[in-house]
Amino acid sequence: MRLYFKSAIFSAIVVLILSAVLLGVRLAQVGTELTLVGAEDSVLWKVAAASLLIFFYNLFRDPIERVLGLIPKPTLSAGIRDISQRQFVQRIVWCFLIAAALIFPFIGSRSQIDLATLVLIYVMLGLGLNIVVGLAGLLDLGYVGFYAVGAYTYAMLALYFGVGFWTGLIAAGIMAAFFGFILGFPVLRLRGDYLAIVTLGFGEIIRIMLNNLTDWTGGPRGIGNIPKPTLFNLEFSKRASEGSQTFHEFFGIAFNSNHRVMFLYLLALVLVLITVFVINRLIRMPIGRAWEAMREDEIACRALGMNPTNIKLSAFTIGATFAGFAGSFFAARQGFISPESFTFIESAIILAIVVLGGMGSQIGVILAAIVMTVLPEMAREFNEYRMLLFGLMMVLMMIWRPQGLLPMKRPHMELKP
Amino acid sequence: MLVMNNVCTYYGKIQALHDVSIQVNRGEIVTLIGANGAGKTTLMMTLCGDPQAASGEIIYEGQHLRGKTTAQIMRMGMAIVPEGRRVFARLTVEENLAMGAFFCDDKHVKNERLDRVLSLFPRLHERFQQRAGTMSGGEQQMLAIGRALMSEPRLLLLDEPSLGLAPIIIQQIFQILEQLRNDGVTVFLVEQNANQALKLADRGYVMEHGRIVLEDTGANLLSNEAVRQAYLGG
Repeated sequence: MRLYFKSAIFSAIVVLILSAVLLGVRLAQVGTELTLVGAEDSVLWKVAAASLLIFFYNLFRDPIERVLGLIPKPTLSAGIRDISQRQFVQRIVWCFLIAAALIFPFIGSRSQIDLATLVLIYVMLGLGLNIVVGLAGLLDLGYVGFYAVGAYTYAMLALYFGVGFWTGLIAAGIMAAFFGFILGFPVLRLRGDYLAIVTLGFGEIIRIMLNNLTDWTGGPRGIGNIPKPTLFNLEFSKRASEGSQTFHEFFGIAFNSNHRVMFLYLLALVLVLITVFVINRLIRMPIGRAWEAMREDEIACRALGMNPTNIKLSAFTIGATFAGFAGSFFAARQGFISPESFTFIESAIILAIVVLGGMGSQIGVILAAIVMTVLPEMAREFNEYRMLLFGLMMVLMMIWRPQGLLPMKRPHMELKP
Repeated sequence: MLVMNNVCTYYGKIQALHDVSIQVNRGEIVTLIGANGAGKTTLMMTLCGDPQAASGEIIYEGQHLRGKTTAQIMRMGMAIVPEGRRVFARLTVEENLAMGAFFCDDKHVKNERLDRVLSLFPRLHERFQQRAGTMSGGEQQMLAIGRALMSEPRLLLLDEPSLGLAPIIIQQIFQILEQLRNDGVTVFLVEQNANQALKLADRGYVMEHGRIVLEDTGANLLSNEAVRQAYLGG
């Protein structure tokens, strides 16, 4: 048995220094000045224990890994071979998921429904970005820009022209698509890292513009009082505004503020289902195939007479449209938006959803959106360690399932000669 | 069917093709041989419109090709099997072949073409649902040719189809090219494997330093002393 004495000592020291600085000392305010305060003994003990743990882990790495190797890794990919049977199972799974999602608001608590609505927004964003990144293979780091365009389109239309949610939704989609088209042009020739940098810049430009066009967008103060969605002009409020009716009056039931939360959730669910359906059709259409072919080999695509310009532009445009829908829904749900909501970290989270879910796979993206939104909420108690947990999860993913949670699968069978 | 007259092509300031003139007649197999860096692939790419020819004319079935984009040219009844195969690695064989018939809307016609390609390459039938990237080099080359044939081209361009393949596979592929000619497809073949290519070809061109230096029938070139010295190992 080999002992890794040197590396064990080294890593223990690294852990000791890092954690001692990060956890062992704190900045505290005394009067008007900041002073360094040592942490309580218990924290210091934990630091010591952690470095000891790392020390022994490294020392006995071989036997430990042998033991870890005995634990079966999650094998989600063990699928059913036969295609028709798999499609049947898939359909049942979909039906079950939709049914569960429909029943959920009637049994969940208000905060749970609210969280689920947030999840659905991220699902929509993830599915949209999945077209650009997962299918067309264009790394887009500025996706949040289209989300912002959608949100602000609806907010500004409502603010200046009194446009309702449904019209705003369509307008937001069209506007975001237009911006996707605009972004598409300069980046047509770019690939990989360069494409990522330009799209990153684009996302930032949108945010900074929103921040500085104070006369129109209100700048950092944002836009408030954005009207909530209505159900065929029925409002979800206690008292109806002029010329309209409220939901509870129309149906003659007592007012319950939960109705609105439930309605928002169901609305998001409908939007997501439409998104899933539309993208599912697109993937099966020639354009979807062309996106994937473009991802694989652009030169071969041109050799087959396809026009890479159109294919890339369509991916950017269609991907952006869904971000626009999600954006306008977000604006309507929050009632208030400001450029703060559209920072780069949002783009990163959406991208993480796509990568985590398995590039190109729809059900994977949905699963990843749930994981990525619900986990941080659940981990609220360990607020300080949230990013740490997040990082840990990413590392574990890369070790166990580098291809994503549920990678895109193709029907696979072997013809016996 | 295809005529290039005094075509010059530049990469920046460097001239890669010097007044190249070739002709491919309907129903022929024409081959272009030459050493590394002679400009064979450049000629092929110029034909496809990327890079564009700086001067001269390229006429295909009576239409000028200069100024047209690659995408336009490749929809005129011409198909290319690019150098290095370039199959869509993560798509299945079926999907790869479907991409070849991208501009054919008639499902019936598509299926007919598919049947034809699969009967030419039974191996592809065995691998139908497999991802292209997981196949051997020879199978991938067959797929690349099959994909090009899915658009039912009148002129098939091949850029080094023998690259990196075992001799027995090369032979199979050349046999298939012969079969294609018998089916009425015109073939323009760029090759380094001069011996095989000249045996198969009706006519051949020899290229050196961006110029066409020799033009003759395949058999004559094969017995030409200079060609033997330079390309066939004496």
